Amino acid sequence: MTLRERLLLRRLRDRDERAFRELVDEHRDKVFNLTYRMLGNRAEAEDVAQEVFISVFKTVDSFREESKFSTWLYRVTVNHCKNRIKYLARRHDRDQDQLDDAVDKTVAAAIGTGIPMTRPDRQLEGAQMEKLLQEAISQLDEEHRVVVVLRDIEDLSIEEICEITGLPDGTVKSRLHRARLALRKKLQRHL
Amino acid sequence: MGPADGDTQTIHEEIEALLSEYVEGTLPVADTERVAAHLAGCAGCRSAEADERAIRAQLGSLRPQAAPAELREQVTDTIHRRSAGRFFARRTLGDRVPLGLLLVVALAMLLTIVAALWASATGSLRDPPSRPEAPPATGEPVVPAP
Repeated sequence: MTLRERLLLRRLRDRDERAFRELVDEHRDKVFNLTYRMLGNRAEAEDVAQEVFISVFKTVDSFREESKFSTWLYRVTVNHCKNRIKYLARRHDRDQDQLDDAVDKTVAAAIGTGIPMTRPDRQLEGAQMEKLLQEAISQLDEEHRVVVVLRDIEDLSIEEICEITGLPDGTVKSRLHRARLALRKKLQRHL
Repeated sequence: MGPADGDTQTIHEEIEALLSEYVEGTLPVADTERVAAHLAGCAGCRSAEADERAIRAQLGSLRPQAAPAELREQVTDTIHRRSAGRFFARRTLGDRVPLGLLLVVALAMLLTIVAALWASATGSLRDPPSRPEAPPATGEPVVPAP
């Protein structure tokens, strides 16, 4: 951990609101991207990201500084996502029609605002691929989804994933293999 | 399907199982060479390898999603609301030190005081030492006659 992180943690433990705001500003995109890729829905991702930061603030005393702060933050985020996935599954609320399509909105917005797009056909193609990928990720089991998102989207190392998930190296690798295989099968026509 | 077909199928499955790590470059050298040798002569597994690389590239190219700008305010508002404004208050000593530790310290201090009182000559908690019994009164003068 860097000295700056240690100082920030000390201020957080003193319930310094400004320190909390700094923490949120620094990590919100990372946390939100992970929750979004895990849940595939912007509203749910936003809600879970909020809960993550509230949990971090409430439980910062329990962080022993034996791991990197970002690893701990990822662990809290992953746990919240897993809980939300289970909750949504129980409520049968995983309606794929509600799957968010931020990309389509972005492309549409870009066209609407006249932002130059050299190859709109390619961009649209990319947007569609992104939507398909997100749908395919959302259909994976939670245990496979976690590893593939952390490895292939967040670009974390296998060691970091082991630390975040508490799983042994071999389990992470085999889940990663199964996850990619499942994605390949789902998206074979589009690759 | 004959035994040879079964063996071939097993080899393809073995290679398939190693493809993820092969593409990541985390396989041991011997396995890497075995997979590379197999891929050189197997179009089906080469296609699987290409798909593996493609899916990783696609996942890696997903654009990072930025958090909504209002997230910070939403979180801090939620914390204020849930804690009725107390959550960000400066912590008192009681908040910083766990209750269990405070109890242990209090108990230790109490024991120290009791031990000190027990050992001290004055203010002792012990029973007062028993005095030697007075000689029985005989009515005779204590001071002998000259």
